[in-house]
Amino acid sequence: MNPSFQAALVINIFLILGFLIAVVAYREDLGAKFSPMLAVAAALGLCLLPPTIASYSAANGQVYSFEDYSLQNFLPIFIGFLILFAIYIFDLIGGLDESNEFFILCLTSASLLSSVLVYTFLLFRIRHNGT
Amino acid sequence: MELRIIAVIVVSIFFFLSILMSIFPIMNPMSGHDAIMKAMTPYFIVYPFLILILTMAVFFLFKSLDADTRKKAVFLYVAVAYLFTMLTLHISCFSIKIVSS
Repeated sequence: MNPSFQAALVINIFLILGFLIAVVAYREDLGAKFSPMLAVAAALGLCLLPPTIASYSAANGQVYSFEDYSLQNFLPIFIGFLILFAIYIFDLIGGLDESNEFFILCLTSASLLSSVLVYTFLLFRIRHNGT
Repeated sequence: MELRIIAVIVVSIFFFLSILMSIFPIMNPMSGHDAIMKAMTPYFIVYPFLILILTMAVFFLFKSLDADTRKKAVFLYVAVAYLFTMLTLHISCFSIKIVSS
């Protein structure tokens, strides 16, 4: 495995761990002030994970990171759901805030429409390319 | 603007960029991807508006509910969207297998 790819993966894993710690620490007295910021930073890190995997596999001459390319396309959407469920845990612990609720609805709508977008892309690809 | 709203917007934009950036490395002009992108351009343009309309519609629909029912309705919406995505993933894997076999 490429060393810079390993470094990118390690950074992403640290961000994901930070995200999980932020979720757990949210209601603690010490963690309550910085954990939402940490969670946002980690959510951005999570969003960077699928493009990192895709770009490095493309740079290594391999077009798809996974055996089946639909998995590569759907990965960001599942990461969106991971963020959603984590925010939902925030809400279950801290009570449903209106801006959080709007964010949940916005991200759910985006995920719903993104899966339509990805499926449309796959159908077009089958039509133009054969597979 | 409140810091929380900025965070929401930044995460949403990054999420959308993440989807686009994981599709773009697959792009290859030799295998008809230019034609695909040309066909999908109208969808890319209306995509943010579709999200906004759907979000506002669901938001105002849920606003009429009381707090406890709204909490359940939001969870149900997320669960239905998750199931829909899983279904789409399986259908696309199935379609690729049918075409490539």
